[in-house]
Amino acid sequence: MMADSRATMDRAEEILERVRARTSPRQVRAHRRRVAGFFRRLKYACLAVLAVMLAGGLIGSFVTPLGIGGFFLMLVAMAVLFFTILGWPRSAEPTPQQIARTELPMLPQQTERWLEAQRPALPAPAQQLADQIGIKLEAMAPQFAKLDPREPAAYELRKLVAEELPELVDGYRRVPDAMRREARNGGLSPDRQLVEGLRVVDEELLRMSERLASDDLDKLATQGRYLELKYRGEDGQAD
Amino acid sequence: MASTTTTDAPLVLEAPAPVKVLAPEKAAGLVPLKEQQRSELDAKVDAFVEELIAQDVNSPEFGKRVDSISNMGRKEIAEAAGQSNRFLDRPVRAMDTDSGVGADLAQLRRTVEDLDPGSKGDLFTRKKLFGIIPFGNRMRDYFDSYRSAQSHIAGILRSLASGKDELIKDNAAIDVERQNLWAAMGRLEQMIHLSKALDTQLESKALELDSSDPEKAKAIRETALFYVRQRSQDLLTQMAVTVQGYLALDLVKKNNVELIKGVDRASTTTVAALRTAVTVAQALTAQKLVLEQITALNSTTANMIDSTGEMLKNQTGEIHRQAAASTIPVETLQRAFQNIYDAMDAIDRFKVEALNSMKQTVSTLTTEVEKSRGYIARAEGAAQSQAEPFKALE
Repeated sequence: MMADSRATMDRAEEILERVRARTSPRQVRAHRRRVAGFFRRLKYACLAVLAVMLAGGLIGSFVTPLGIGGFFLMLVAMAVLFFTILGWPRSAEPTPQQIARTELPMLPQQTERWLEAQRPALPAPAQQLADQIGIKLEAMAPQFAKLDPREPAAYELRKLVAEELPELVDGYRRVPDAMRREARNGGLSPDRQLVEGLRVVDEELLRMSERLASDDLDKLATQGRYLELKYRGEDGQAD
Repeated sequence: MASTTTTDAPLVLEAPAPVKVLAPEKAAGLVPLKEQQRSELDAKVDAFVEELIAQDVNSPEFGKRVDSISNMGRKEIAEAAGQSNRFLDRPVRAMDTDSGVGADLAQLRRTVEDLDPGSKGDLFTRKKLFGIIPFGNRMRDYFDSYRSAQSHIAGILRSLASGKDELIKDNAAIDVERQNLWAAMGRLEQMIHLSKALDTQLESKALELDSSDPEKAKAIRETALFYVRQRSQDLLTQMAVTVQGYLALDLVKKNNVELIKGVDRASTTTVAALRTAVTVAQALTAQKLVLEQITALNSTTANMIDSTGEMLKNQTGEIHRQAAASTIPVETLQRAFQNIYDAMDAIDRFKVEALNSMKQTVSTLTTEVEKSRGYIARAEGAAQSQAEPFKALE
């Protein structure tokens, strides 16, 4: 009975998810990433064309005149380079091993990309949680960029994001598809376990972010209090 | 006319008493809980105990619930511990004699001693070249020395003012830290309330079960109740340490406030002495002693401290009248210098006393923190990433 209602809930979530997909922050993020990626490629392509032009000019004026054939050859090379760079397939998603080796400032972004790639394999409620985690990771990126890699907080984050989270998701993916919805030994179904695990990761990320921010919050509060003490006196009344 | 140049009642800086050791048993109940929080927490305990009793003693569910008791309050303890340890890291600026306010005050004292009319011998005798030929005027020379000293004094007073700002900033940080500690103590208090409620509930349930299901009663006493009592002890110890840290921060703050008062007084008395010198010089030598920085200083010191600054303003007329009327204006000047010395002596006395009570506080807190560290280590080791049925309410 319990499992039945849960399965129904999960299916309802799936349908909701399909409706949500079009306007979700995830889609917006993915779109933004695509646009940013396109402009980055465009930049490289233009640079490559300029380099060919410069090389052609140098060879033509110092080594040997290019002639009409050489000039056309250069044009062809330019076109080929330009379109190759623009059309080059996207680099593969980072593997957990690669994530573990990433520098701290790049870590949230890499994990986010990896999580994004795992998304289709996850059940609907977990997809939503994965999106939430992705959004949190993106929002926390500036905080982690400032973090000293030797600090315990940095170590904790790396452990969570680069080891524990991938381990959870990989563990789930190793479970055969047919068994994912079945509760085992009276406990939770793998689907549920994944969702619970992701929820813990999500909460932990929030807590880490809060703890990192608490220093800055304290500093701000201290400065406010200092101004009050200095210019208004102990009781906070204006003279 | 005796008291006209003293700024006001003698400056008394009181060193606050050291923070005493607080017994863990007395630590609870210092932060009041709201009635609503109490009832919410009690409801949680009731539900938990009901569920625990309903489980089979040997089932993994029972074990899981018992384990979660040993995890109770872990986060709250760790949080509170982190904050009260920070007090020990806080450098006690007020007590630091080699830098900051202490060094500035020492420097001010040296400079002022050089200007003290009392140390110059009889200013009314004529100066003589080789002790024979009359040459120059001691009085004029004496007041000339103010000119060379003034920018130096201005520099010292400026750095005293910025030292004072540091102290105020310190106090602001303490206010924020105390606010955080208060919140942490509130959460600890909630956990203590929880563990006490659990204790009584489990105890009475075990009594009830003694006749009907002695095995379960035994299991409850040996596992659940044991863990609850252990956690209660941990929580109370941490609470005691945190409360002491909280009180110790108050002590540092009070010290700073006293020191700020002292710095204010030293600054104003110095400016008052300089100003008296200006007037007295005019009366004695008919020489106009112009100390450009005094006006600037007057306004800054008056801004710094309202009460004494106000007094300083009112005094000016008084000094003028005195210097003109008095037969011995040098005495007026000497009294002005005496005021500076009094202020500085008060600070020195205060520092000795305050340092003493700070030391006592720090050493008691250190031992308490050491004690609680063991508990924290145990709590950390006991339960990594376990379920937490009990959390402090926001």
